[in-house]
Amino acid sequence: MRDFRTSTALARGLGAAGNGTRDFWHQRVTSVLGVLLIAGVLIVISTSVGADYDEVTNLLSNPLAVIVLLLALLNFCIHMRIGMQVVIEDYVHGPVTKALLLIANTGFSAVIGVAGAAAVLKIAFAG
Amino acid sequence: MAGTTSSSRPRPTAPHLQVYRPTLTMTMSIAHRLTGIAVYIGTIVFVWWLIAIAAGRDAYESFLDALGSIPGLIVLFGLTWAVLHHALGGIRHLIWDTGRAHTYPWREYLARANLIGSLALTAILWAVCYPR
Ligand code: HEM
Repeated sequence: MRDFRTSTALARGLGAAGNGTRDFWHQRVTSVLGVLLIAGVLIVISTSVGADYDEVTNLLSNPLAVIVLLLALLNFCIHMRIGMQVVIEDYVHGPVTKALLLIANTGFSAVIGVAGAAAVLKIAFAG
Repeated sequence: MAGTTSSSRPRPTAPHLQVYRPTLTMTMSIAHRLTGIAVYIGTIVFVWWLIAIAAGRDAYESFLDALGSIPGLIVLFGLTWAVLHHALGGIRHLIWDTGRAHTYPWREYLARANLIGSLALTAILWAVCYPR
C-alpha cells in the first residue's frame, strides 16, 4: 500500500498526535517500575492493618515507606493517565467530549498524585 | 480508488465482538482493561487512606469504620484482586513485548497463570492480614 505520509513527517516520526512513541514507552517504563512499587505499597498497607493511629503514623514516618509511597504515587499518576487516555480514545469519538474527558483524566491523575504526596509528606514531617 | 465511483453498495464493516466464540485469552484481555479502570478509580480509596492519616486520629478512625463495614470490606477485597490481576496481566504484556509467548500453548499457560496467580495472591494476602 502506498504511504501517504510526507517525507518530513516520516523523518520526524511523531505521528498524528505529535508525540511519537513517547506514551507507549512511558507506559512500558511505568509498568516495569510499577511491579516493584506495587509490591512495596502492598507491603506498607498490609503492615498497617490492625495498627492504631500512633503505630500507623510511625510506620509512615519510616523513610523507606515514604520513598516507596512517593515513587509509587509519581509512577502510577503517569501510568494511570496514559492507560485511561487509551481507553477514552478507543471509545469516545466526539471531538469535544473526547477533549473534555482527556483533560479530566489528566486533572484526576494529577490530583491523585499531588494529594497523595502532600499527605505522605505531612505525615512524615508534621506528624 | 474508493469513493471515486458512487455506488449503492454498503461499505464493508468489521465483524462485531459477539460473532466470536469467547476464549480465555479474550476474557483476560477484557479483564486487564476492566481491572485497570477499577484500580484507576480505586486510587481514591488509597489517597483517602493517606489523607485520613494526615488529617488526624478522628479522620483515621472514620476511615477504618467505613472500610471495616461489610460494603467497605467487599470493595477492599475487590480492589485487592483487581490490582493483583492487573499487575500480573501487566507482566504478561511485558513478556509479549519481548516477542515471546504469543502462540499456543504458552499464551494459554500465561492466561491461566494470570488468573490463578491473582486469586492465589489475593487469598494469601487476606489470610495474612484479615485476622489482625
Ligand atoms: C504493577 C503494576 C502495574 C503493571 C505492571 C501495569 C501494566 C500495564 C500495562 C502493560 C498496560 C498496557 C496494556 C496494553 O497495552 O493494552 C496497562 C494499562 C493500564 N493500566 Fe496498568 N499496570 C499496573 C498498575 C496499574 C495501576 C496501579 C493503575 C491505576 C492506578 C493502572 C491503570 C491502568 C489503566 C487504566 C490501563 C489502561 C487499560 C487498557 O488500555 O486496557 N495500572 N497497565
